Amino acid sequence: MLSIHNLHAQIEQNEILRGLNLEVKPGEVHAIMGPNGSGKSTLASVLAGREEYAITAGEVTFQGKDLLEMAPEIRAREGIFLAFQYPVEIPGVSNINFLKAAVNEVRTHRGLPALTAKEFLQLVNEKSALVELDGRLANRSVNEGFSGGEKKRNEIFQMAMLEPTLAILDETDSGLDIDALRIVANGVNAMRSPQRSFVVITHYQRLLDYIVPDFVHVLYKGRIVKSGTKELALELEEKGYDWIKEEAATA
Amino acid sequence: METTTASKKDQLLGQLRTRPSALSETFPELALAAREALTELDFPTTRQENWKYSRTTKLSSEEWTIQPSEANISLNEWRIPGLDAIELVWVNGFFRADLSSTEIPAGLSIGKPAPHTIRHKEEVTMDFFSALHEVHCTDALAIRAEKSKKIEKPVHVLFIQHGALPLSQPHLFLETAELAELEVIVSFVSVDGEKALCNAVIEGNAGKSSKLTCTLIEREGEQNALICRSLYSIERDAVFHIHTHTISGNWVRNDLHIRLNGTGINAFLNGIYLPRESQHIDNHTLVDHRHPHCESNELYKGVLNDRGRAVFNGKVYVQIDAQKTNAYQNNANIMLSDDASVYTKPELEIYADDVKCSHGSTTGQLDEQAIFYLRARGLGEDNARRLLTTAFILEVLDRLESEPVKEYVVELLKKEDLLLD
Ligand SMILES: Nc1ncnc2c1ncn2[C@@H]1O[C@H](COP(=O)(O)OP(=O)(O)OP(=O)(O)O)[C@@H](O)[C@H]1O
Ligand SMILES: [Mg+2]
Repeated sequence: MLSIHNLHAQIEQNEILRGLNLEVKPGEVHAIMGPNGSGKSTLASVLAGREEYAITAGEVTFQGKDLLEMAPEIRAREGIFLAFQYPVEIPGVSNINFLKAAVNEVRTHRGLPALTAKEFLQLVNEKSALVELDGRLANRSVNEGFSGGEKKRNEIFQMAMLEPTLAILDETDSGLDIDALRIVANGVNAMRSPQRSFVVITHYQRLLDYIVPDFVHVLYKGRIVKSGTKELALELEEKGYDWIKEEAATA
Repeated sequence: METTTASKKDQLLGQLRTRPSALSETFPELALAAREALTELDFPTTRQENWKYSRTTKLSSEEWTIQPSEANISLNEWRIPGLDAIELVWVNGFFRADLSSTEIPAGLSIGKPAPHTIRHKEEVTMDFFSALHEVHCTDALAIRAEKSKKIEKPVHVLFIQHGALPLSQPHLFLETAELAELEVIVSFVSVDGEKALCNAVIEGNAGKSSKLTCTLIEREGEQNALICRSLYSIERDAVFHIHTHTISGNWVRNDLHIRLNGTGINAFLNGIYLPRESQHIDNHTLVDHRHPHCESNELYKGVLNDRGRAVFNGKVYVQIDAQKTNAYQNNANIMLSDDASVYTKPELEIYADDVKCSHGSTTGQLDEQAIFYLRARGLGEDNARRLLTTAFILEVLDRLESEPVKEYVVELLKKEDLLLD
C-alpha cells in the first residue's frame, strides 16, 4: 500500500529525513516511536504533502502511484489521512460545513455521489458517537476553544468521516487521560479492516496496549534504525532510547 | 501641476455656475460659507493629511456634468430579495418620485428638509467636495421617523448613476425622533453608465432613546467614483448602527463622522472593503465621545487582491467629560496579492482618564497552517483559501441585524467570487 524508499527531506537546509525506508501493507498497523526531534512529525508531514519540506532523494508510492507528485488535497482524496500532532484552530470556519465540503470532495474523487444533507447528518451522528464527541463541538469553529483532548477526538472523528485507506496518527495519544485514550483507541480499532492501514506515531507503549501494532519501528536521526514487533515497544518503555542510540552510533 | 488642477476646478465650477443648489434656499448661510470656501478650496492633493493616500487626479481630469434623467430604469436587479422595503429611487442625484414607493406608512415622513434640520456645519467646508456638494447639491430628501414610532418597513434608498459622466450630488437627512426606530439601506449602483462621480452626503440625527440603522451597499460601476459623507449626531440613550459595504466601484471614499451628544449611547460601526484589480477604497471614520457612559464599537475588515489599494483611518476622540467610555476599534486586512497595498492608521485621542479603549490593526496573509489543514482533509487550495476569506468577512457581516440584507450582501460577494458558495 505504502512504500517509502531512501527518503531524504529537508527544511530550511536542515536534513531531517536521511534515507528512510518503510513498507506498509494493507490492513497493517505500524507504530513509529523515537526520541523528540528524530523526524516523526516530519515524516507524517511529508506524507501528507506539506510544501515547506524539500524532498532531496527517494521515492514514495501509495497504491502504486507516485505520492510525492500529488497535491495535499489529492493525497487526501486518494485515501491518506493525517491526524495532526497539533490540530490547527480555524476561527469562523464551522467544523461541520468544512467537513461536509471535504467529505463530498473525497466522494466525488472516488466516483461516489455527494451525500444529501440528511445522509451527511446521519453520518455525523454515527461517527461523533464513535469517539464520544459532544455533538455541539461539531457545530463550532474548527478546533477553536477545544480542549487538547477534544482536538484529538475531533481528528479521529474527521478520520472516521473521511474513511481513509491509510491513516497516519501523529501523537494522537499525547495529552489524553486514560479514559480519553480508550475512546480514541476504540475509534481507531472500530475502523481497522483488512484494507485499511495505520501508521501510529507515539511516545508511549500505553497506546499500543489498546491499538495493537503489527510492527514497531524506531526512528532516530531521520532513519528507521530498528524494527520489531510489539515487544520492541515494551523494551523501549523499559530501557529508553540510549541503547538504540549506541547501536546506531556503532552501526 | 498647480495650474492644471486649478483650471480643472474653475472649469468645473464655471460649468456648474448656473445650477441651483437643492440646499441653498433652506440653508442660505451654509451655502454662503461653502461658496466662499470654494474660492480657496481645490481638488485635494496627497499633501493634505486627510488625502495622503487617495489621489483625486482621476476625478479632476474628467468633465462632469449635472444630468437630470428621465430614463426608465428597471429596479429588479437592485432590490433586496425577501425585503419588503419602501423604495426611494434617485437617478443621477435627482429623486424620482415616479420610480419610488407611494405608500408611506404612518409615523414616517418623507419630504424636503426643513430649515431647523440639524446640520453638521463644520463638515460643510471640510474640503473641496463637501463645499462643492453644498453649493451644487442636486436634490435633497429628509426621512423622519416620528416620536415613539417604530417603522416596521425598512427604507431602501437607491442612488442610481446613469449615462456618461454624470455628477450626482444627492443629500439625505435621516432622523429618528425620541423613541423612534428606523432602518435605512442606501444602495449606490450604476445602470448603463460609463463613468460617474457620485458625491453624496447623508446627515443623520438619532433622537433620545431612538434606534437608527443605516446600511450602505456600494455597488458602483467599474469605472465610477464615489464619495460618501455620513455625518451623524446621536442623542442620549440612542442606539446607532452603521454598516458600510464597498463591493465595487473604481475609486471610493467614505467619510463617517459620528458625534455622541449625550450619555448612554451605543454606536456600532462595521465595514468591509474588497479592493481588487485597480480599485481604490478609502474609509475615514471619526467617533467623537463627548459625554460619559457611551460605547462605540468599530470593526472594519478588508480583503485586498490584485493591485487593489485600501486606506483605513479611524479616529476616536474621548473628550475630557466622557468618563466611563468604552471605545473599541479593530481594523484587519488580508492581503491576497503582493501588489495590493493597505494604509491603516488608528488615531485615538483620549482626554478622559476613566475609560476603556482599545484598538487593533492587523495586516497579514491567510494562515498557511490552516490552509494546509483544510487541504489535508481534501479541500482544493482555492476553496481552502476562499473558506478562510469567507470566515474573515462573515465576522463583520454577522453583525447585520437584518437577515435579508445579510443574505443579499453574501450573495453579492459570492457573485464577485469573493465568498465561497
Ligand atoms: N521549520 C523548521 N525549520 C528548521 N528545523 C525544523 C523545522 N521544523 C522542524 N524542524 C526540526 O526537525 C527536526 C525533526 O522535527 P519533528 O517535528 O519531525 O520531530 P518529532 O520526531 O516529531 O519530535 P516530537 O517527538 O517532539 O514530536 C527537529 O530537530 C526540529 O527542530
Ligand atoms: Mg512530532
